[in-house]
This record gives sequence, C-alpha cells and structure tokens, in this order.
Amino acid sequence: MRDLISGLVMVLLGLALVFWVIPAGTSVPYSADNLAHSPSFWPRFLAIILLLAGSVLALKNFSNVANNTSMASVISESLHSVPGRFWMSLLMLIPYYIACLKFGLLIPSMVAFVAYALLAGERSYGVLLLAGVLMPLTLTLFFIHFANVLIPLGPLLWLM
Amino acid sequence: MLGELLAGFMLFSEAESLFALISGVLIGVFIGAIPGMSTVMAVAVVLPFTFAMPPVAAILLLLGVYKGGMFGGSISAVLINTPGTPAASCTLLDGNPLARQGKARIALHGALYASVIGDLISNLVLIVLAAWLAKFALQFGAPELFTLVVFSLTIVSGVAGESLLKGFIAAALGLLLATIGTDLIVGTPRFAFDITPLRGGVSLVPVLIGLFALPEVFRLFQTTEHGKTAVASLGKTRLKVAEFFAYWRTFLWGSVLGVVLGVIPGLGATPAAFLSYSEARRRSRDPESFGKGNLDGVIAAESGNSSVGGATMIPLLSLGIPGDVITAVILGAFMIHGLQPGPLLFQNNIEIIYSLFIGLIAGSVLLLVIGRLAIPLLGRVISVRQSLLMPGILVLCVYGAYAVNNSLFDVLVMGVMGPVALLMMWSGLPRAPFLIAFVLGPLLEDNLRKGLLMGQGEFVIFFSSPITWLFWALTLLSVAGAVFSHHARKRKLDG
Repeated sequence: MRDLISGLVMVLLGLALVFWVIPAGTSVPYSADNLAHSPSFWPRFLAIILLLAGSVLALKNFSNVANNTSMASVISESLHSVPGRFWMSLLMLIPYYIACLKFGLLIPSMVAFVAYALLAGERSYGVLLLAGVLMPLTLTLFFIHFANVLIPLGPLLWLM
Repeated sequence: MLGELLAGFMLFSEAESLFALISGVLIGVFIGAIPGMSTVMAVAVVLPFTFAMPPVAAILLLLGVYKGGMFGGSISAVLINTPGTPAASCTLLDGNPLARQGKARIALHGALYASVIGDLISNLVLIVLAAWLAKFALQFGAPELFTLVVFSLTIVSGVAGESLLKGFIAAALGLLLATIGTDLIVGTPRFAFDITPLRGGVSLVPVLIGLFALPEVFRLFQTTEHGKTAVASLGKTRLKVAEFFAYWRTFLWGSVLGVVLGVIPGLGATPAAFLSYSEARRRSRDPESFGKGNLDGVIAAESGNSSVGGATMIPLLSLGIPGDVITAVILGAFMIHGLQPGPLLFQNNIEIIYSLFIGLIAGSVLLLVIGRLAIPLLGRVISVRQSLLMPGILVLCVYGAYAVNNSLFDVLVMGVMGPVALLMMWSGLPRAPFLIAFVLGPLLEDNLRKGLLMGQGEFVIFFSSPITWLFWALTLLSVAGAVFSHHARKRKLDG
C-alpha cells in the first residue's frame, strides 16, 4: 500500500511539474531548434521519467489494493504508530525557525536545546541548563572567531 | 615528480592539515562509537567546520572522520551489542559474544588491527589505480562524461535500495532538485519563483544535513525506550600483534573483497563486511563457532568494511564520481574550496592529490594510535545520554546549515529536507541515490547539453566513441544485474 501511495504521489508530482511548475518556473529567452538551448528540456525529461516510474510503481502495487486495507487506514496506522512527542519534535522546528528569524541563532538555539532535551525525557535540570547555554554559546564563538561566519545574534548583538 | 611529491608533503605537514587529520580520526572514532550516530551523520555535521580551512586540511578532516567512524562503529557493536554504524552490524555477530566471555579487549584490538590493515591496503590500491584511471579519463569529452554519470547513477540507484524502481525515483528527485537555480547554458533563473536565494541553487550542505542528520535526531522521539544500556567490561587480556597476524588469510581476503566492492559505486561498507564475514566462515575449519565469539569473524567483518574507504575514493579522485554518500560529501567539500576532483585535478593540482595520499596513509597509522589509546575511554562515551546528545546535534545542524552561505534560507531548506527524508524512509525511497544524483545533477545536465551543442542537437553524439559505447554497455549490464538480483531476492522470499 505504501508503494501505491508513493507511486501516486510521484505521478501527481510529475503531472504538476509538466503542466504547472516547469512552464511557470522556466523562461526560454529565445526559440531554437537545439534542445541544448532550452532550460526546460532537462527538467521536463526528468518529470516524465518521474511520471512513468511513479505510474509503474503504482500499477505494480495496484493489485494489492484488492486486499481490505484502505489507503486511509494505512496512513492513519502510520500516523498513530509513532508517539505524539515525535510529531511535537517536528512541529517545534517551526517556532525554532521563526525565532531564529526574529532573535538570531543564539537565544532560540538555547531554548530549543532545553525544549528538545526535556521532550526527550532529560530530567537532570542542572546539566540540561548548563549544556543548553554552553553548547550554542561555544558554537557561536567558534563560528564567529574561528570560521569568520557572522552568526546573527539578535538582541545579543551588543555582546559583540 | 619528486618536486611535486615534496610540495604535497609540505601541504600535508602544515600544522592545520595535521591538526585536521588528528581531530578527524578522533571525532570519527568517538562519534562512530555512539549508537545512532552514523559516519555519514558525523561527516555531515563536521562539513560546515571545514569552510574556513585550507582545502587539504578540510578534506583530511573529513577523511579522518570517515576512517575513524569505520572503526568507531565496532566499539558499541562489541560492548553493547548495538552497531555504532550500519557497517559494524556484522562485527557484533562475534564481537559481542566475545565481550560476554570477558574478551572485549581482544575483540576490539582485533577489530582495530583489521581496520587499520584493511584501510592501509585500500589506500595503497587507491594510490596505484587513481592516477592510471585519471590518465584514461583525460580522453573524456562531454558525451563520455555524460554516459559515465548515467552509468554511475544507474548502479547507485540499483544497489542502494530495496528496489531498482525506487532507486530510480529517488535519483530522479535528486536530479530535479539540482535543476533549481540559474540555467547553466542560457543563464536565466529556473524554478527560483522570485525567491532570491533560489537563484544560486539549493546548497549541498543543508540538503545533506536535512537528509542524513535530522532524521537521526527525530528517531530519538520515535522510540519510547528509556533506561541505561549495559556496557560489557573490557577484560584484561590483550591481543598481541603476533597473534593477530595468525589471521592473515582472513584480513587479506577481507581487504581484497572490500576494495573490489568499494570501487563499485553504491555498494558501500556494509555488504563488504557481510561478504568478507561469510567468506571467512565458509573457509573456516570451525564454521560452527561463528556467531558464538570467533575472533576470525570480527577480523573478517572489520577488514571488509574498512577496506572500502580508500577504494570509494578511486572513482571520486580520478573521475569526479562519488560512489557513496560520504564521498559525495567529500566531493562537496572539494567544490566548496573551488576544486573539482577528476583528471584535471591530477593535471593541475597534483600536489593536493599527493598530500591527500600521504594523509590517507598517515591516517591509517593515526587510527592505530588513537584507537589503542581510546579503547579504555570508549565504554563511557557510548553510554552518553541521547536526551542531551540529540538536541546538541540539532543545534549543530542549524548552525552548520546557516554557515554555508550565512543564510537563514539554508536553515529553512534543511528543515524542509528533514521531514522529506522521513517521508522517503517511510515510503522506502533510498536517500543515497537522491543525494548522489543531487550532487551529480549539474555535471550530468551540463555534459548532456554541451554534448547536444557539439552534436548540433543530435543525440547520436552520445554513441560516437568506443568509450560512450563502453559506458552504455556497462549501464545496461548494471540495470540487468539489478533486475536479476531483485527477481532472485523475490523468488527467495516467495519460496
């Protein structure tokens, strides 16, 4: 069933590429007979490969659908087979990224370290706080002073 | 030649290069020893630290991690019956039973010596073959390079996953991702959709970290297991070097198999370890003792997986084609430093090649020294708390992705690639062909379109020389081989 779903997703992706993404995302500066001059030739070729391969994958597994398992039940089973904290760990990436945009890398990384460690079941709060502050701080200092990478510090910029 | 060799030695003996190699082996051994932290993940998180380094030091750091990781994986396999890296999953078959008999130190010494010998043999083969192959590759034009990349991708797609079709799909997705950016021939933006950072294309590092490091972090949250792992005691008995050399047939045979499998793109260290192990078992006078604590098994597995490292560098250095994910990362590191591995590197920057060769040999000796010194400490390292380690890795991933271009957009790319990698794992799409295709994508498209320009739009140019025919024949053979082995596996499962 997973293969059928994957195949169908690839077919949809291939169709979207051929009919929407490639025409909208490429511009041909001049018309020429030689395919080498066309920026859309190679992506279109790959999209067709994806479409064909996805169709073969879906068709090969289509017979299995005759079994009672429905697509919805497979997806639902997969979603429920992992603990809630897994989904939480994925969702927490969004506020982490938004916080990085607003406050730089250092403070959000400290908070994220602590939050993820707590989510993972860490209960030694002293060690956790120490590691949560020192680890991002060390990385920041390394990148700024040794690798010459300007790490955005947000409100802590005055420290520099 | 002597002058170039000397120049290579001078490059290698610079303090930064030596420091990078030593650090790389140390990091590799320690990270490899921690269960759940693969060598690929180690290389991925170390890569951003190489940006500020000179090219030789940067590559040596990554090579050191690769070498150290190969041995490091065996430590947790022996001591806690959990392979630190997938390649060490064969080592635990006999390594852990030995540890339970109080002979963990013997097993680890055997694994270390076998790793060092396997690695050394592999490096010597690399030194002998790479220059010869690079000389041959100097004859390649755009059509030959195109067919070579097609061949490499078919072989990687065919052997990397559970099915050839899924491997192809993964490779096609990687190639598609590589098309984002500015068109190579006409110079117009492609799939950038007015997002400025996309005009430069998608960077390798965020894709790599998202594909291979982030899923390991999230895997921690997929399990509900807690509690401490039982670490076997090392025991007092050591393995003397003379005792180890009594197993010379095993480690030589394992090294030969590892080198042969390493040269073929896509196979990697895990099949080499299992093949070497099964050969040792087949040739043994006491095959029944395998799996119950036979040192022969540990030596076979480790010589097999460690001898892949140098061999995978052969197609990378001589042709510019990565055979596995780690060499794809090393290719990325070359590119970040403005170098393109392949025949031209041998022609124009031979001193860099020599310095890497010297570094590879020195790395084997370092592995022996660091491995011997680290064995007593590693029991503590492998029981490090995952609940502190994985958040640290996540933060490292964010900093690493940002540092490539000083861009938070790259952090976003990494954040998107993580869930994409999880979806790929769920659907059984292999990640290795995706990444290798992503790395090779520009080379493939560039040579296809250059070939078409040369041939005035006619595809016949890709069948115009004996070399192109050779690669088409090899491509057909690899596809036929993958289809055949897939059917054989299916029949075995059904029967």
